Order: sequence, then C-alpha cells, then structure tokens
Amino acid sequence: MKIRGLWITTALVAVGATAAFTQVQTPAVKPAAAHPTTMQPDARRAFFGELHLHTVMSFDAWAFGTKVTPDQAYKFARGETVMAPASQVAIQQGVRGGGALVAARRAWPLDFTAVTDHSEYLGAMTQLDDPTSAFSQSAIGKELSKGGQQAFFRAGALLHVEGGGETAPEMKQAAAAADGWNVEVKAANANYQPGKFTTFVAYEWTSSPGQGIHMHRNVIFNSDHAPNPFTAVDSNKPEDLWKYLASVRRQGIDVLAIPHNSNLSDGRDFDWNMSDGRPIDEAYALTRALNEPLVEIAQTKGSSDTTPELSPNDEFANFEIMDRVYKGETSPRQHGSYVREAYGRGLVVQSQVGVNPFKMGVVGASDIHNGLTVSDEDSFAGRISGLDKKTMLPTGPGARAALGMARMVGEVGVRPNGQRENDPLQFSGAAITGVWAEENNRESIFAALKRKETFATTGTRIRVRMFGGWGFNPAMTSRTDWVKQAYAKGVPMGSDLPAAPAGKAPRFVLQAMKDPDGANLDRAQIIKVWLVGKDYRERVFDVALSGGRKVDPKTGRAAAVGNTVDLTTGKTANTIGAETLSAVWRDPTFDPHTPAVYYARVLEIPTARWTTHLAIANHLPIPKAAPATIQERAWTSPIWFTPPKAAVKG
Amino acid sequence: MGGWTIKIEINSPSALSGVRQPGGRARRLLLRLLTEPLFHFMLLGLALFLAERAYHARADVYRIEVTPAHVAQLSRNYALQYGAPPDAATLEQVIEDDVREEMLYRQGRTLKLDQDDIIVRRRIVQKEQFLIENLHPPAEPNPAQLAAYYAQHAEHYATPARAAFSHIFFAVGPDGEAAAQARAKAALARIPADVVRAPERGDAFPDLYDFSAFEPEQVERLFGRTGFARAVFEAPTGRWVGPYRSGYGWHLLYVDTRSPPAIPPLSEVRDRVRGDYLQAAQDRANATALDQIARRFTVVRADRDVARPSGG
Repeated sequence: MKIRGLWITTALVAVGATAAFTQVQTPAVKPAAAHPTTMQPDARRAFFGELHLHTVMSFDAWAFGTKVTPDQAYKFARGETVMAPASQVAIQQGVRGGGALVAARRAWPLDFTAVTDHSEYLGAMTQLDDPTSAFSQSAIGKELSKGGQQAFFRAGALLHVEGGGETAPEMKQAAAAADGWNVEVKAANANYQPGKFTTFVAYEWTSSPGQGIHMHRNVIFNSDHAPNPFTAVDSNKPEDLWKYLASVRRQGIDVLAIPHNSNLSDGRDFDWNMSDGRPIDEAYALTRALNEPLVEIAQTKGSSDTTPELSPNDEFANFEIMDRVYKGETSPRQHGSYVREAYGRGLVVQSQVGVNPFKMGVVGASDIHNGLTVSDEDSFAGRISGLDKKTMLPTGPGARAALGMARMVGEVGVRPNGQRENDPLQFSGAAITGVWAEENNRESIFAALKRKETFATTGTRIRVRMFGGWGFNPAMTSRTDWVKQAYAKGVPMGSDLPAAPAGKAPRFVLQAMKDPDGANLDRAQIIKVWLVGKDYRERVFDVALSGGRKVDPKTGRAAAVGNTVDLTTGKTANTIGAETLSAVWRDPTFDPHTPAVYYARVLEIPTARWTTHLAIANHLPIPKAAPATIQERAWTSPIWFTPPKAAVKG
Repeated sequence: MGGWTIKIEINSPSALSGVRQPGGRARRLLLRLLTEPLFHFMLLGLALFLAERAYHARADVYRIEVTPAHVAQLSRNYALQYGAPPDAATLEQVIEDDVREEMLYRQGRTLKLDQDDIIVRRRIVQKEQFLIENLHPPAEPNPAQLAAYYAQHAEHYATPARAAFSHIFFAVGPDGEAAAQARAKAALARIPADVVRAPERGDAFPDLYDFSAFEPEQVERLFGRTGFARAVFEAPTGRWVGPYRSGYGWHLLYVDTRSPPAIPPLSEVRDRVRGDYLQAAQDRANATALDQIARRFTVVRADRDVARPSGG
C-alpha cells in the first residue's frame, strides 16, 4: 500500500511538474481581456510611455547598486509611491538617509511602460545578494560581489562572447536559480490596469559584437505570456533574433524588436551589409522591416537622429550627441549609426533590391538602469539613473560625480587627445514615446506601435501628429474636425503615401501642442530625405514658426526664438514661443519620380539642461563643457513616398 | 545507489526480559513480531526486492536509450528556439549533445553531486511551489460568496471623481493673450442655451473635444495643473462657463455630469472582484497546502534543545 501510494504520488508529482512548467508563465488569474476597439481613428489620443527600462534583474544595473525590482519599477512608472532601498540611493545619488528605505514618486504618471531587463543571465546577479548561494561561493561570484565599474566590465565581457557557455557556467546556473523570466512576466501582468496603465512583457537582447558597440534590441510582446527570451548568448546576430521572433509569432504571440543606441553601433545598425558581410538582399530587407518597424531615436545615452557632421546644413543637429562611451580611444563611426541617414540608405537599398529594410517609425525611451523611469530634466541624476527630485536629489560627492567634477570609484579613461571617455556630461535626460491610440490597453497601444503612429520626445509631453495626402485643403487646420478629414483624405505618420495623382504635389498637415505644464514651442519643421542615384540628400523646412517670424529667403533660415532661462533658478519664462503650432505644407521640391521620406521635428524654446538644474540645486558652477540650455524636441514617425517602379529615375 | 542500512535500536534491555513496565505494550508487540516466522519471511522478501531494484538501477545508469519520442521532443525544442526544425546533420549533433549531457548528469548523480547543492535544492523547492499552486485551483465563487467578498473589500474598488464635459478651445495667436480671452468671452455670449457641444465655435484642439468619464488626475495630465483642470470639477454643470486657462490657451467649458468619488455597484467591477477573489482563494489554498506539508515534519531545534511539531 505504502509503496503503491508512493508511486502514485511520484507520478502525480511528475505530471504536475510538467504541467506546472508549461503553464508557469501564465498568471493564475488573467487580466480582463480588452476587446478590439470599434472607435474611429480620429478618436485616437496621445499616450505617453517608456519602452526601455532596467531593474535589479539586469546584470549591469545590479553592478551599479540597483535594488528596485520590476514590480516596483512598474508601480513607480504608474505614479505610485515606491520605497526604494536607501543603499541604492546612497550609491547612485550620494544621499545619506537615516532609514532603510526612501520614498520615491514620479512627477507625473506614464500611460504605459515596458521593463526591458537584459535577458543575458537575467537575474543572475541577484543571487549574490544571498551570501549562501552557490554563485556567491564561486570565484567569479566573489569577484562580481564587489560591484561597481569593475563588476560591470567583468560581467559585460561575459556577454560579448557568443555561445557564452564555458566562460560562465556559474552565471547560467545563477540565472536559472533566479527564475528571472517568471519574475518579469508576473510583474508586467500584476501591474497592468487596462484603461489606465498598460504594461508589456518585454526584454532587451544585448548584442555587443565588440567593446562598447551596441547592436541592442528591445523585444516587446503583445501578450500576457511569452517563451523564454532568445539572448545574445544564443546569438549576437539580429538575423537569428528574427528567427526567434518568427517562432514566437507561430505560437500566436505578436512581437516586435526595437533597435536602440544606433549612435553607439559603430556604423553597424544601418550598415549596407548583413551580419555575414554580404550586401543586404530582398529577404533580409523584408524580414527586417517586418520585425523592426520602430527605432529608438533618443535616450539617456544620447540622441540618434543625426549629427552636425552628417547633417551640416541642419542648424539644430548638434543635440545631445554622445560619442564617447565604453569605446576605448576612438569614437564610434557615425555613418551607419544615425536614423536620418538610415532613412536615406533605406531608399537606396529599396532602389536596388525592391524593399526598404529601414522603414522605421520612432520611439523614445530612458534606458534608465535604476528602475525609476523619469523624463523631466530636473529629475535626472546623471549617467543612467532617474530620481524623485523631492527625496533623492544627488548631493555632495554624488552631485560632483554626476557633473563630471569628481571621479567615480574605479572610473577610467582619458584618451590621448584629452577627451574623457564615458563622459558623465554627455549623458542626456531621458526620452519618452508617444503613441496615437484609441485606448490605453495592450492591444490598442501595440497596434499603434506596429503601424508606427508614434512620436518620440526628449521627455516632455509635446503632442504632435502629422498626415500626408494629395487632397488636403490648405486651410484645413482652421476646422476643428480637421483630424477626421486628415484620416479620410490622407495617411497618418508611419504610413506610405498612396500613388500620386498626375501633376500633384503632396501636402502634409501637422499640429503640435506644448507640454501642458512645460515650455512653449519654438517651431515645427519637416525633414525631407530623398534618393539621388546611389546616395541621398536631406533638407529641413521650417513649416511653422512662433512669434510671427518668417524664413529669410536668402539664408533659408528663420531667426532664433530667443532664450528666457534664468541661470540662477533654472526656470524658463514662457514669454516667447507658442502653445500650439499647426501647418499645412506643400512640398515645393516634389518630384513624382523620386522616392522620399518626410518626418517632422518640433522644437521647444530653450530650457535648462539637467546639468544646469543639478548644479544650481547644489550651488555648484554650471559645467562649461555642456550646454547650459537645450531645445527639447519631438520627432514624428515618417511618411514615405515611393513612385511606381516604372516611374523611378535610373 | 547507496546500500541500505536497517538499524533497529532497542534501547531498553528490560524489554527483552519481559519485565512489565509502564508504556511497555508497544514494545511487547514488537517483540512478538520479531519472533514471528511470517515476519522473517516478509523481511527476506523485502531484502530481495530492494536488492533486485538496486541491481537494475545500477545497470540502468550506464545504459542510455534514445527513443523516437525523445528525438521528436529534441527536434521540437530546437524548432521552438530557432524557428525551424533542424536538418539531419544538426539533429544528429543535437542528439549527441543531449546524450553527452545525460551522461554527465548521470555520472554526476552517481557521484552524488546533486546532494548538498543549493541550486538543486532551490530548483526542487521551486518545482514543489509550482506544483502546489497548480494542484489546488480555487473554485469559482458563487454570487453570494462574491458579494460577501466585495462587501469586505469595497473600499479597494472605490472610484475617483469623474466628469463628463465638452470644451471649446481658443488658441493664443499672434494677437496675444487678451485677444484669445476676448474671443472666448464673445463666443460664450453667443452660444444658444440648448447647445451642449460646439467645438467649431473655437480653434482646432489636438486632442478630443468631449470626455465622458475623466478623472481629476487625467484632466491634469492632459490640460496641465491649471485653472481649467480645477474648473472641470468645480464649475457649475449644465451650462457653458468660462473662459478658463489651460496649459494651451483659453477654453469654454460645459460640464454635463459629475460624479463624486464612489464605491461602484458590484456589477460594474465584477471581473476585477472575481479575479481578486480567485487570487485570494489561491493564496489561501497555497498557504493551506504548505501547512499540510509542514504538519508532516517534526522540527528539532537542537540549538534550543526543545522538540515541537512544526506549524503548531
């Protein structure tokens, strides 16, 4: 009897365990399913969110002293008060707190968020928080336990080895013990409030084919469950990641990947060639366009729109350029690393293989590594840490290190030419993503991401939308129902213009609205990129200017808007600029035989940069090596024009 | 794989001598059993059974059989990870890797490497926890249970104040702040009393003109922490009022209805309540299951020199 009983129990355990492991990623209680929307497209509203955020589960974030969990990160993002461990705050912000916990609350809640921890050895480092764990006892564990920059580089080095395998069996085991993917999935589901706050099951694929070279992608699932991540240890080739994404789709889960920090890709993200070195072919272009409909254009490690070198005629190109991070003695190559050039290269590749591989809408994000996603300039703690300015403002040595006035422990790197590597001042305040969606839920927001009806801002809540079409009335924005007309007679940003009627030039209608609690707008611009043989050209048009300014026909430029920042307080007097800007713009250079890309950029009037806010709060001098004020901005996803094949000029 | 040691300790010599003692009944029974031939026979049988099993187990360790079903599983796993089934050569490699892994695994177990290993221990604990959660799915609540649960946790479902309103927007143009405000006032004077929606009397607003159930926090997020946001929850309802300033310009406002913070009827939040009920029931079931396991154990706190049943 006893023995038989034992057998039955064993069999039950075995069956139960199998069942448990196949179902483990499904929450016990599913969130209420949202129904497909029946709303009209003109009822779409702008929702703001974060699509790139790290917590204690990321190996590097742990090494930086982060303790905030994915669950806490979501709660903070949606506006709840979160108690952050004082030890984290002490390391990152230099705050000496009495208690063990510090209350943190975001200045304003986000509408949606994806925690995207590094999938490689997900959660492994948390095993070091338990001194009795096997990982803590191992040689590499003891080395990594010291934390800080050295641990970051040591752990980072393990990730660079494709197939990882024998270099870090202890890391693998520790990751298995941490059961990180379940932690992530549970946190996303537990914090999803359809209608109010949307979360995404997500992770970061951290491909680094060389020191400091980013080929990273964020993988966002439209589901409450997902298979285990495909990591850069499995393969550091995007083509292999796309195979995994295809297999996920075959399981009925929609998914997309978002490349980011192309500015640090050393020319690889938008290379002419595939991973195997051969030129991009049609199959690659199709697969890439399917899997990567978006690109992150700005975040704390700099903007990826363009640079003054790539766009010498763009007077606003010199904005939050980060070119000295973890790359040794040279800066990453610019060609092949920036989005605007990618739009041009996409047209070139399309003219050769028939498909545009770089047909990407834009998103913005933080890439903050301490779990606290913030986007206001005065809530940025430097490097890749967010903070609650009321309770966590860096002071003393923390502030000095953030402003590059003191070295962090273990920090290395001044180049032979005197440039400081990994310069703290080059870090930028965080960016965010805007989407035009019917409702705040996974289905609606994911659909908006997929159709690229998105925009990115450098952290402020500028709302901007753009449409293209052939039959727009030049006075349409004076009508209060113009959005309805625009959807009916044209296409929203992220789309293709329909075929051109003979003899017509496209019109673009655009409206931008300032952050309701922020600075006024300087101007709205449309940036056009078009194909010229095997190359491309670009031009920036001012389409709406505040304060009655006009473009000087001789220079093609308008006067600067001015600057109302008080550098003793960091405050902006909103006495210049406009609260809303709108325009209906007809492309005066349109050629029906030439493929082209159009996207909008909206600039705010100057406001204080994070470095200025931090220096003023600490009575420190405002750093001279960084601009004291910046023009925060928004970029829309593009609208593409492709002539019928027969009409393309050779 | 280790040998079996059967240790019978008889700690009182007087039990053998048959001296009557308090509490000696069980012991006498045991003594009779020990002299019973049938018992000897059973012991012999058990020994044979164990020896046979041990022999087979030892032989099985060094025999690895690759079944078609297992190969099919390996192939499926590969396809899941890489998006396509392996070709013949790859599959061979996958099988060989799997066999080698199995060899190392078995050899490692022979060497008892799975014992006293914190990771193995944690993994087993984790599996056991998953098992508990899945073996005790909570029952669906009946209406009475759901209502009782809701009554107990009603404050958790309280809704913030809400307003249904329409607005007309007046952008501040090149003619300045006062001009926009004046246009708004002029428009207010001209709106007929029976009109409840009239965005066309103002300028284009890049978000919606009508909101059906906006909370104070949502109004602030869209319109800024401004006079307009306050007016939505303070101004008189059922008529056009204003103009009020938002983060974008001037607005006329028509608040149709407003509801104070309230506890909604169960019917409006049934799905959420049901989900929370099931989660709570699951939590209770898990705790009960853990208690049941705990009851099987006796925890000896040698550090305190006191024995007591756990969970008591």
